[in-house]
Amino acid sequence: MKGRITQGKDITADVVETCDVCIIGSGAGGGVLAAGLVARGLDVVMLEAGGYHTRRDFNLHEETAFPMLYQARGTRATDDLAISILQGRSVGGGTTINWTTCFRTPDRILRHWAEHHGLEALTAATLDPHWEAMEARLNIHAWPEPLANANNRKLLDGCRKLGWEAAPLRRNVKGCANSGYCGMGCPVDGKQSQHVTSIPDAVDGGMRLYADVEVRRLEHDGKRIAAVHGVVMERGRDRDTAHAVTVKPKVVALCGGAINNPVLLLRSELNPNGRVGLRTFLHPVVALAGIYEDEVAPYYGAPQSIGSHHFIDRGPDKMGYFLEAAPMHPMLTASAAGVFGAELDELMRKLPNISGLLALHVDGLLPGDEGGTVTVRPDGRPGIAYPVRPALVEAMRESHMSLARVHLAAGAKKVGTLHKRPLQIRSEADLATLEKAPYGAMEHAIFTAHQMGGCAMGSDVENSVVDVNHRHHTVGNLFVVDGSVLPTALGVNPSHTIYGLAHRARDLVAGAV
Amino acid sequence: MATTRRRVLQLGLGGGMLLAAGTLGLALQPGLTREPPAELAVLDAKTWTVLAAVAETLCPASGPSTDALDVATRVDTQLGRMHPADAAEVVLGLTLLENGLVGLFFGGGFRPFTQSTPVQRAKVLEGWRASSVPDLVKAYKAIRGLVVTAFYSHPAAYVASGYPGPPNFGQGGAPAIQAKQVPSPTPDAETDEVPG
Repeated sequence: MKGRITQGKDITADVVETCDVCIIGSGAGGGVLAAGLVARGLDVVMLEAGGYHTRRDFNLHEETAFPMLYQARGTRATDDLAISILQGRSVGGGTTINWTTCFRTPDRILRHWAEHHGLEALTAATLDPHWEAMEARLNIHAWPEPLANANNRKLLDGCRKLGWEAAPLRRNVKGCANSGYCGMGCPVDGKQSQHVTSIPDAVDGGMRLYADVEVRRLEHDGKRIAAVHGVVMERGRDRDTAHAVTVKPKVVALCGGAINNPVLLLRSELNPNGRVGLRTFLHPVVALAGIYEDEVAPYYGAPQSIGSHHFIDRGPDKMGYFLEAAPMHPMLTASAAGVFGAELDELMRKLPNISGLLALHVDGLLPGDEGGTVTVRPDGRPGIAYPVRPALVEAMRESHMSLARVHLAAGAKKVGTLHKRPLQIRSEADLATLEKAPYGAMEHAIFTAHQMGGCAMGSDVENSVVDVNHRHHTVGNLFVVDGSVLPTALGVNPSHTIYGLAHRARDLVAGAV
Repeated sequence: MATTRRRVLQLGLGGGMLLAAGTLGLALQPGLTREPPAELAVLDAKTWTVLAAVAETLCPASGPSTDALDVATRVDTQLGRMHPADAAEVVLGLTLLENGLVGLFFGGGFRPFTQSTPVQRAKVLEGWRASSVPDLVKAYKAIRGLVVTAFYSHPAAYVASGYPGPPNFGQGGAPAIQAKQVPSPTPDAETDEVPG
């Protein structure tokens, strides 16, 4: 029997559901898991805090997209506002707004997890079948280099001139219009987001999905979840309606992502070993703008199609980083720049000639790098603390130098930083100034589009939240299946790792019903 | 924004004195109040006027005017959709900004923000941006983010950044000018070997 998608506006009374599995969250983890469970004949209810939107809603204007598709209407940040957090909130979760870059989990990361977190069961060999299945379902393939837009081309050209590794990326698209608006919802359903792939599969097989329902509490006795308690939210506002959704499942799969999963567990007083919310990793990002004589039009064309992992391994005591491009639309660009008035005007008028390149730092691998911590504020909302430690400061200094070199090698006439007092680099001679500049929290813009951890997977029950099979250490019918289980950052964009792990988790969760 | 009155006070003697001085300044120096063009969700006329003055200072003078784009009113609409605690903190920041003695502290002169010259306003905002008091930097970031976002997300401001705007795929009932879709290669199963 076909299932249904119910939106908050259509819920006019309290709802009580029973089912085999209640999935909380509809992103890369929840979507893949749902399709797999439904295919196994299980009765599934999915709850998603965000709204249900389709390509007809995606008008590609930032003023529409960010409030509609992002956590906190696009304003989520660490408590000190030092790090802006871009995180999806709609049916499809992060997959609705990500930039489509797909990597399998690198071997070096899997080896690190085996050595330091007891995850020997996760190897390339055991995960290969799951990645292959997801690559087929989501049409993950290398984006042809000739289709790279000018923004990504600057990264490629610069790296090649410097003799640094750079290569085309793989993307999960089919019939992509190459428009450049992945971050605002794909207008042609070319991006194989969960809301156009796994979730329709699951609904066709009988899943009931409730959108606009934020889960507030898991009712439990410390050993089993008895019920999931959610509140219907008013679309587009952080306001509760009068209606509740209660689900009484045999098994619960938590798929709300890093930050939201720990918050729910903490609110539910499900933190027996005190590890929930710890080891939250962000791939902290810094950006440099290169200004070129030729037009770059950084707002058009596939947002990310070239990447460089030349600096991913900088030795045992240094934090690695990788380089990618970022689409630059006016609102996001102006927000990222800290300046105002005439300075902002001067920068923004050059937007057609700007290339935006990013460095993403691989947190969680160095000894003592515990990343950030998610807590619950007194009013129930997430608190996110992320100390910028010396290793990250050092890496951000070096990555600024790398990005500046790439821009200069690619022909930039000027390179601008996003420091509190922005620096301008016009030649290699200016790099000494860049090296001496201050780095750290509030010294320059820092972002994240990759949230990982907070419900770490591990074999040590005292130092992790779930086991290698995604099962909570003490609550038998609770699984966590998404990026929040990652015990470290990845050094690559995380969506494909989550797809693969969720695909592997289908039988594990089904077996608990 | 995580700034609260209590946290500002927790900054210690400097922060407490600043707030006290600002409160005194407010009492001594009444600010300008304009009539908002529409009913407001969160702000009152006084804080809306401060916000409008902030928007004038932060946004480019050469593009469409912030009044023409209703920046302050659109920020108020956003505040109405945000969590009430966050919205309240923005209101607190605007109230503090308006205080004459706070302005004096940052070189803007002993005048409420709304009564200050454009140069004085810029000095005060620059002072907050570069401040060594973390909560002032946070307040600047939060207010700036809302204002700049409201300005540059408005289609009428696209011209100010040379942005031609998004392609039209027919959303919202507009006639579709379908961009050519790129034929996708078949999926490959190659592994992504990451160098290093």
